[in-house]
Amino acid sequence: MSSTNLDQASTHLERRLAVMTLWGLLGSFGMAFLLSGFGTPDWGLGLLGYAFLITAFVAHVLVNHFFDSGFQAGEVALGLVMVGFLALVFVANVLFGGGSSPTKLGLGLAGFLIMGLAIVLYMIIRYGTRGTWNVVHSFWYRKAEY
Amino acid sequence: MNQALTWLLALTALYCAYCVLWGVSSARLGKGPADFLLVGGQLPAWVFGIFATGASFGAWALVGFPSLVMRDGLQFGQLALLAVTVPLTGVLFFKRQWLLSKRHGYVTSGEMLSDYFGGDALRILVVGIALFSAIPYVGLQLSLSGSLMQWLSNGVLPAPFAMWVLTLVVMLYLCLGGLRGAAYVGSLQGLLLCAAMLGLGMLALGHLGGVQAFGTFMEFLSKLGGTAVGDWGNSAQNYNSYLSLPGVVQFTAGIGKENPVAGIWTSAMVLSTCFAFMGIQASPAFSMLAFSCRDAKAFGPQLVWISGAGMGILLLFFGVVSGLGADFLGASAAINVAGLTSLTTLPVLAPGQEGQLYANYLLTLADTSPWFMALLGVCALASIHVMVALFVTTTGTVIVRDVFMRYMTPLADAKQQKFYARCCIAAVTGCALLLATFAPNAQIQLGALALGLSVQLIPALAGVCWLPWITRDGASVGLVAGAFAVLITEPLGGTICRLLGFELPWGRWPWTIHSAGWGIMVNIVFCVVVSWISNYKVELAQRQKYHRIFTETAAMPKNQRFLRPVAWSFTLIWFFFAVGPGAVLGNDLFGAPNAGLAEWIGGIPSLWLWQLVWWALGVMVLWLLAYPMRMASRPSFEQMEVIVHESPG
Repeated sequence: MSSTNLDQASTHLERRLAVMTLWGLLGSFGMAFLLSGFGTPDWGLGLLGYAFLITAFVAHVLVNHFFDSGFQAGEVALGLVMVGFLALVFVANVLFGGGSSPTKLGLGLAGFLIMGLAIVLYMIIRYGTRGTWNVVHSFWYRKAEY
Repeated sequence: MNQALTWLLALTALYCAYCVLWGVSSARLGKGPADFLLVGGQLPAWVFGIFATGASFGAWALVGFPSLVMRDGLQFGQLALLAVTVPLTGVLFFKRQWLLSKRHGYVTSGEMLSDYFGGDALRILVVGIALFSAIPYVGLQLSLSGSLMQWLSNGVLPAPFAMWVLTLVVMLYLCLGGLRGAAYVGSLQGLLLCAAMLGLGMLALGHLGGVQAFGTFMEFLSKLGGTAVGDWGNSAQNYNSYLSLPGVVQFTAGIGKENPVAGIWTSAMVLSTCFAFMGIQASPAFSMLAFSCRDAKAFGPQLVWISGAGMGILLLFFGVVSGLGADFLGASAAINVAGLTSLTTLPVLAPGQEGQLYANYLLTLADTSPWFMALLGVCALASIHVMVALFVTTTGTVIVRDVFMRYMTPLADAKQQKFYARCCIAAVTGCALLLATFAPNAQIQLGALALGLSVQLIPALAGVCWLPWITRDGASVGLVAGAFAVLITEPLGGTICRLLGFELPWGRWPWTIHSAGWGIMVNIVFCVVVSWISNYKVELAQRQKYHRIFTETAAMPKNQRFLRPVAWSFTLIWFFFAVGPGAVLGNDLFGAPNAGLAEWIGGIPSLWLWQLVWWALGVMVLWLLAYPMRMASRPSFEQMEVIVHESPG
């Protein structure tokens, strides 16, 4: 490997390390608080869990900015899979879990709302309002073409 | 299998997978031996900051500190000020060692000392210290990891089995990734350590009744202060040993011959133990970690803010709350019997079992939040492994560079060097594991020497970085004399003497001075005297060449040199009052321990408030030395040009 390639590989590895470290810390504690919030159930613990996860997302954005990169395809895919899985678990619990308490339902819906807001806010900050519309619009039309 | 065990196994497996992933990723970067041994001198500042902090404090801060505060009270809590004294060594030595390594390409501290002083005596001594301190110390940590898993699984996972499995994972990722793998994994391990310290304190507060119950907790302490309850009883001033230091010094023969009164943590003991822990950042491991840094900008923030400020508040508040809180929550038999508490949240811990306190706290979560129990358990494993990883990889490097490359295979190519390094890492880990499994008593006796031996390197490092008048003979003789003094003031020395047919008149830590304190005093005396006798002009001129680099790149500007006497006076005053003889003033300056809560200024025990005040002042001392005094600040671009481009000699 040439030295330029090695430097690029090192930088890429360092970025990946920063991302995995912050999600390893904030993500694990966020999920733990979230589980406690749903398990107890308790609004405070659940919202604390969401706060950790949002902080991890914001930190990830900052790392991207520092390393002058964006979200990698693998990271987006993993994020979508995780969110999809959690949503599935939540919906299954509501439908087949023998009655969900108002707190659990509220926490779950709050989670969807917070996640959606976070993504929209990120896109607006990154692309601007018109840019966000263009991205969504072009994605939608590309999908329709297929 | 119950939920708690399932979560514990699942999260431990995830943690192990994470470690191995980074070992593989580091190996696949595919650079040469310099990268494997020293991260190619390109360790990012933020990784250094977290890894160095984690490796400096490790499981002692998370598991050991609260358990000993539970046993001995605030007199042990005085050692929270290690958060200031440990990074002080780094402030003194990191930057200058880093400058020398950038200039001369050193990989180990043995190479640096050999090059600076000439000859191989110090190199060999450094190898000896690295081996004798690292292997038993690592063994102790590995034993703890096995015990922790046994406690958290309620005995389902046998300690030796857990220890072996976890150690093999550690060995794998270190052999694959070297120091880069250790540092990369260490960046998460260090953060998990801090999170767990915070989490333990919050858990203790939660069991005590939350922030609003803090007052009730203080009332308990004030009631305790008015009694003689506790293993150590009351001091000469009739202060409960839980809430006071038992004097400046006690001229007792030492533990095992004549135990001190009202506790062992006199000011002399606290000060000498601080010296012992300062040996961590003076060890060859931390010298190499400093060499591996890409940029000296890492040092200041790590030493002042992360270690000094961050670890300080974690130890002083959360550590003390979890330790003393355990007494209130039922962990102390003496306090329970005296009727000072009716809580039974934690099971009673018999003498010698204090190390189980962390696991007992976590087990209170087993039924309600088993995922949290498992997560905090993994955090404890991380705190153990972060220190193990640094010491194992750097000891392996020392053997490769200072033994193999120096004496056996100086012409080894890149592939051979990496192979030797991997073999050495595996050998060091294996030796520690075998010691922990088959000779635990010997391991404890050897492990007790680790810190005391490491601190004996300080005069040699002081010679390299600050004092050109220290000669090779002075440094070598001082080191050997100091190591001998450490040995004969620890149980191993007594054992050896008995085997030779005579009994030492003293026990462990005579006069309530830690063996490291005895060692460094003897070391300094011999070092100074022998250096004075052996100070030859030719050799002095040779050593001065190295110090010229510091004059050009690390010296203070002339208009700021007035700060020198100010900073050093402040430092000495801090040492005297924070961890030295003046610390006894904290026993009752803010209200006597037996005067009742109403008399306590700040509503907390006087000694605790004293510790908080001097911690804050200690952070200021660190800042003053690191930044205005330029001892840990980043060199300017022009200064770096001098380092990189000026030819040697």
